[in-house]
Amino acid sequence: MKKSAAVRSRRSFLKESLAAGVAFSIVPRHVLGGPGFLPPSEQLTRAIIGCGSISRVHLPMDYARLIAFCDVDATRLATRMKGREKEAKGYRDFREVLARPDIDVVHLCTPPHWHGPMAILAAQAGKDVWCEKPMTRTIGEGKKVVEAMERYHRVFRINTWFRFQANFYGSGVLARDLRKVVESGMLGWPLRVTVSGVTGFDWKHNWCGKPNLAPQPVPAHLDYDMWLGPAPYKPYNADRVHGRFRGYWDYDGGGLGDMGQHFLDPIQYVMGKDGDSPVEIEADAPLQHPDAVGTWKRVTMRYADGCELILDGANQDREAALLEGPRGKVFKGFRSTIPDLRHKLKSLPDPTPQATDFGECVRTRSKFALNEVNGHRSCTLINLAKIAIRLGRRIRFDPVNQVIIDDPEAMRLVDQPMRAPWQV
Amino acid sequence: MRHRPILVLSIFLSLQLMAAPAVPQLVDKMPAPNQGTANEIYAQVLTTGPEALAEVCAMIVPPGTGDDSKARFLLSGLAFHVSRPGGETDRVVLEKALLTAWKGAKDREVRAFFLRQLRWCGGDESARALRDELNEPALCEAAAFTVLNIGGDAARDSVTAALATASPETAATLLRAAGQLHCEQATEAILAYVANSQDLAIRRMAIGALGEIGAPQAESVLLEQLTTGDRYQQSLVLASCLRYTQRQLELERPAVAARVARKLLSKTAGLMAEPASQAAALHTLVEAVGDKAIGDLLTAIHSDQPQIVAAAADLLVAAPTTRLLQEAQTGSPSERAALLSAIGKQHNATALPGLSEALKDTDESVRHAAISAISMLNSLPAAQALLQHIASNQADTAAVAEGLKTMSSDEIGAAISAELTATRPQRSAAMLEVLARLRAPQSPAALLPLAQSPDKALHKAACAALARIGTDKQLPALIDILANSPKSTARRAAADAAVQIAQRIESEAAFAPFAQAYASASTETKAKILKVLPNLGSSKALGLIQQATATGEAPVRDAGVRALAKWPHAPAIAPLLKIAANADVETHRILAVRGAVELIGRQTKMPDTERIGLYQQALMAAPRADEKKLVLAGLGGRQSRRALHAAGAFLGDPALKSEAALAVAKIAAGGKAAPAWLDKESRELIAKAIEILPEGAWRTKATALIAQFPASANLAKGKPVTTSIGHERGNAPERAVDGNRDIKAGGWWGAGSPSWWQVDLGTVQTIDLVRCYFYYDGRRYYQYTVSVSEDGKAWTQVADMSKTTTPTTAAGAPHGFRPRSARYVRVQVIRNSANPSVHLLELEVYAPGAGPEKVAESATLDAKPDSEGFVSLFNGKDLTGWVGDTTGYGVENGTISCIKGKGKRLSTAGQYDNFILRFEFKLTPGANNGLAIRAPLTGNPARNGYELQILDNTHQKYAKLKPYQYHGSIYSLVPAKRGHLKPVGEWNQQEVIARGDRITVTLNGTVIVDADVAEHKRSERGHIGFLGHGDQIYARNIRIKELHNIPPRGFTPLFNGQDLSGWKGLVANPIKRAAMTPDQLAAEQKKADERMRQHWQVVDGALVFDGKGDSLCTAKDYADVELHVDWKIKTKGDSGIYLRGSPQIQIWDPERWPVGSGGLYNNKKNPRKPLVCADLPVGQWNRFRIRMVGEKVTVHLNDQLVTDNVTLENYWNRKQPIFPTGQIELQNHGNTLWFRNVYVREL
Repeated sequence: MKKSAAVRSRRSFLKESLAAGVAFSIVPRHVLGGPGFLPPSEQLTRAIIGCGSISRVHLPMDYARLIAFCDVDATRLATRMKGREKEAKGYRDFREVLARPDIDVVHLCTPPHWHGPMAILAAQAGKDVWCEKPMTRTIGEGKKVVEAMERYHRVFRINTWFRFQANFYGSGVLARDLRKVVESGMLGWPLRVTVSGVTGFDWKHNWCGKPNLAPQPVPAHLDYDMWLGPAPYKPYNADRVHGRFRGYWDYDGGGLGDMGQHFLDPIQYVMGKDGDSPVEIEADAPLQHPDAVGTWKRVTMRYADGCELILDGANQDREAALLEGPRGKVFKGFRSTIPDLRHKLKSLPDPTPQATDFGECVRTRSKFALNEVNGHRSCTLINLAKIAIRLGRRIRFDPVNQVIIDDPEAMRLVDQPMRAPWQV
Repeated sequence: MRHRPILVLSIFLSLQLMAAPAVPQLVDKMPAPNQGTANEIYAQVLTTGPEALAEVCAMIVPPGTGDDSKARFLLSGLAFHVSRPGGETDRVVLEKALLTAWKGAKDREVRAFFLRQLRWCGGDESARALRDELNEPALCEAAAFTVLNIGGDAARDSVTAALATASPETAATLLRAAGQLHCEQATEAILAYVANSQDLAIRRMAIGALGEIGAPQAESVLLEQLTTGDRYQQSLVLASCLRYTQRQLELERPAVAARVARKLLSKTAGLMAEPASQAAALHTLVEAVGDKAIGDLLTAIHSDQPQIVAAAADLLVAAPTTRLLQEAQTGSPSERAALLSAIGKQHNATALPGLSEALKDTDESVRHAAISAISMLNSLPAAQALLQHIASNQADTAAVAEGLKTMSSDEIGAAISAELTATRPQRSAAMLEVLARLRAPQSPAALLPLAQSPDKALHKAACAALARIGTDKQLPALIDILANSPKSTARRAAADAAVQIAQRIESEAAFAPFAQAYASASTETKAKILKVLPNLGSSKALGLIQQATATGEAPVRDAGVRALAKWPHAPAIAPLLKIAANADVETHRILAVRGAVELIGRQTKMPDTERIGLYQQALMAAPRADEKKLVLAGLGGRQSRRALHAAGAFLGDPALKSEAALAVAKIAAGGKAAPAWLDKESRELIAKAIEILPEGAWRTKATALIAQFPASANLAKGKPVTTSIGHERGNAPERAVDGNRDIKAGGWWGAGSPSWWQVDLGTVQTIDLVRCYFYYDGRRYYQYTVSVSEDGKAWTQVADMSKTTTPTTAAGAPHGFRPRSARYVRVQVIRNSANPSVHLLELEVYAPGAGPEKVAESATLDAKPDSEGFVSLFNGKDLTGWVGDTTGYGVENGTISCIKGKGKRLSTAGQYDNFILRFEFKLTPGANNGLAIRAPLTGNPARNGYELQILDNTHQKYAKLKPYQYHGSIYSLVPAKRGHLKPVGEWNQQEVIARGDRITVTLNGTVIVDADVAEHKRSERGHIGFLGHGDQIYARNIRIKELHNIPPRGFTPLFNGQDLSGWKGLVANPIKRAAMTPDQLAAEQKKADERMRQHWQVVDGALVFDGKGDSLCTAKDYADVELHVDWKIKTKGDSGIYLRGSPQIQIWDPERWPVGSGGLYNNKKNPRKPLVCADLPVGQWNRFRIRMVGEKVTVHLNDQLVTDNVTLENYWNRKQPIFPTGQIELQNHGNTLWFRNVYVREL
């Protein structure tokens, strides 16, 4: 796709101005807006699409009224709606939810193969999106979601929170504190980050799939065709769906898909790499089945500036530090080679505050702390790792254009087709 | 070998070719454990040629009709492999093979599988070949996926052609594909679908495809469609129109893009109530025409939809500032506010005058937007403008403060401080908050004048800011303030700031300005500086403080002592204790003792002996009862004899006795177990402390402790001893009668065994109990006998421990016997399982009734199997062989009973993995217990191992049980069949079989649980136990039969328990074998196999070797492995495990070779001996767990690490490293051997 200089400059002009908009620090509503700036109704409304177990997490949020549920499985829909029949309506086809004009936000609690197309259709229908992790199943889908959110001016977040709230998983510290340490330059540069059992993370290899699934009759309460949606058709087996889908490449990517965004999103933030991606990815893993996700030992990702991100799935490096720079290391639990680190931390300036009130972001049309842009970048780490594991060869990536370099066939894993009528 | 490289290479090559395995064998290696292995296999398949690929393809079967997963692994791996850059030749071969297989396949799912592999490796040939498949309803989707992934002209041609003959079933898919591939030639066909199709889904696809392709003739049709259909339909059409505009940009037709976008925006009807679509249209418009879209955006900003206003404002950031400023003068407040915030995002300094003008607006929201926009300019003039603004409009102070906080230019701090020094204090309040929150980088120097301000609020805020952003450059000024300011608040604030800055920078550098100020300071100032120093933590600062404590100037010395007492680290303890001992000023002594005691208490890594020594010094120096009480409190946390006696010394002091008594109780009874050092003197101190202590928990604990070890007369204590052998280092024989059985305080370390040690009681006395305490580490055991004699010549044996293998413990072993007259007691030590030395910590001898406890008749488990192969776990007499809550269970009439209100967890000492367990049990009404299997000793067995319910579920209190809580159920996992329990009070018979992943429970003859627990990743081996809840139940006849040759998860059995399949005989050695021709080797192998069958046999599930013949070898070769082997030998037995065809992990009789088994005994350069002797006595089964990765070997023998990551040398050629792969061998060394449970896991 060649473009004229004029078009390119107009586009880059637009990109820069939007980027400046993102950098705008958050000014509270009472400073920015008068009464006319807010939506007419302060009371937002929302819907949950996908009523599996993760949707329970989405029930108690009170920034918006929950008025619709949707699931392709009648049993699950009924279970989730139990006791809420008065205030909410149930749907089997999410397109009916999107067609409702009175819904502001949709929560996507479906398996990941649905996230991309659903988020884009939701944006087209004027809905803001609260999306379960991982953001998308492929890098291509993620790029399209980013474009759609910008174009339709929607507010988007991923349902993980470790970059701005709670201890950063098993590391036992706040991501913010790690960011402070990195920002201070105490560790030096480049960094080497290890995400493994030793540094406080569990890669959940139990999410492996079973090869050789035998076809089974589809249960009457499940609309299997809609469950598959954009994914290639494969005969039904109970192990593919509900609660086990992570074990199959068509829908997710095992423990990487399950925990990846929780673990890696804060890492990108801590390293200050929210707009960047690695340039070289290498995996050590046993051969993968075409359908079922298997285990993996180690994924190494290198950034252009020499930083390294190691996913040590086999927990081989028993001495690994969470963060390691030429001048110091920080281990799990904030143990460090730098004396008195906790104390020193207190006197360091806090990083730029993050916008963490989703309802407020919806009302003021401003970006949430973890949005489609940085969320896509952290999900790209997962998707790159998946590609390297499946392909069995080292890949090189162009972080600007987000394409794999000199390996056109590998690009087929970046952009994967979908079953009609679904697309991104 | 080096001088014949060509020959060797050619032999190697020919072997490689000859050895290229057949396709089924290659498939069988799937999934390859790593990419290297996978690549080797791919190479072998591809070299063998298309027939090999066809053979693999032929293995694919329809799902549900067989397990073809290995073939699927291989084909999909190959598909990725050949798609690599530079793999074109291979790619073409595989593509052809897959296409052929696809054509030949009948089953839809099999065909789909081949199509899916072509997704990764197909090219134009596939795109063309799939043209017809695109019209097959069943496989259109799968084919479309492949064609879409291939892309390019061939793909476009196929899709366009297929679309011409599409059926209703395939149309949607093909339309979608045509869109995504941008098949412009298909536009007319697609338009026909829009015009004619009655199927809504197909029409939607066609409309979507038109937007994707972006052909000119589609424009009018798309815009017409905007007004049809429901809301969802409309938003799809709208999305397609927007995609159409976007596509025009990609096709470099910006004018068309702008025209269509404007048409979309001009539609004012219901449709445009969709703010998201409007935002998208604006977005495209800006992309298409750049700043020529400003007019459209300014129109949009007047929208009544706040979302449009926000979107337009975001896009307007790119518009010229002057234009925006001009627009911002009119319109509604919200529009003006939106425009001002867009200006702010431009960061354009020239906007300042215009924005300042907006500060005068009467509408608050406009003013606030202007404030926010000015803040974003982030410059000195901007800051000044804001500060000036609040001079005249105080209502906006908070908003300005918020704005200033976001600014971070160097000059802004200066501006704020200049403003603050000049303004009225009441207006400063908000500014001070701003000041306190300033973020680096700032200009901290500008804040120094404020820090010196007489105004309290000002200097506090300035110092708070300096504490955050200050550098070493401000330290001298702050030190000056903290030392010389007339205001105490200023001094304190400056001190805090100085300390925080100092802690941020390198500690010695931070100290320099303090030292400098100190050197030239007055006496008074020196004192003030000293006060701050403890916060610095620099070692030089400590030096300065110590120096101050010794000067003649009283105020300085006083400040020095105070500073030293506050020093945070251990180096201050010694100087403090010195001051405590020598100071002539009472206050200093008190300060020093208190400081030292606090510091000692805070040290976490200090050894107890050192700590108690320091506490004793503090006690001696402590001037007053108050300080002594502090020390006693510190001693109370330390479990040692020395601490007890240090505290006990104050039991007689009226002022301190209650604290001393509490300390004594805490020392004695504060540990998890009774202290090993408890002796007569200690006991007396504890008894004294109990008298002093008030009623309460510590008194109760101390009393219980004393009751557990009542005073008794150990007749051996301090008596003369003799031995048959010398001792090691200072561990003289007398130490075994010194009354101290602390493991570290030592005992008799006898220099070897067998040997004896004896004590002379002085006169002939009547005794009935000898208690032996040996060194203990949880694993080792000592085999010994105890004899007594009246004259030292005629001996009578009173205890026989010569066969025991029970590990020794801190509690020692009591040996009771019928009362006898004796003067001499002798311990004959036969063997120490860990090393040749003897470690007798203590030996006690008691007269009848004087022993510390009643000793049960000694009993050991009868380990003889019955006719069915079961051995008893319970001897019917006591709890020998059981561990855990042995006091919560009683033994009577051959029955174990769980004591009401007491019994908790009672486990077997041994661990079991696969077994048949039979036992009888009897319940009482409502009783609840559980049977743990494969459980660790601690933790929740229902989570780590398995808990089988033992429960009277007929009781009414269990009316609402979950299914998995009934008797026999595997708790939380598998419900049991109900209704087979005998009535309460009757004996039930239960059998539990744990065989691999299968667990069955049979109750009174009925199978109530038959479960596969494969998906629950629990422990595969562990203890068996009763999990009591203090309810009474009874159990008896507890018998077990272990099952063998069942591999743990992930392991493959090398020995099937039945015959010799998988094994072969030994032919020469690896180097000689490699030199043989294949025919020679085959002939030799045949002979070796015959020899093997003569001497190796399978008896009772074990491999038995008759001591003649050769080693037994695995049929396969192994590289990196984890290997489990159980083995048994006879006296003087010798064998070993060969890895990669090479010697060896040693096995031999530990009586004869006391280093024990498990070493790499043929090593020369690397370690060859095992770390410890972990062998069980000859005749018992031993277990090896071996791991070999690369050339490194790790061995566990009976769960003890004996070889830790040691290189195995190449015995056959010392110059080479060990072979990368080879057979595993069980070594012949000319004696009878047994092996079983031989499992391997390839890594």
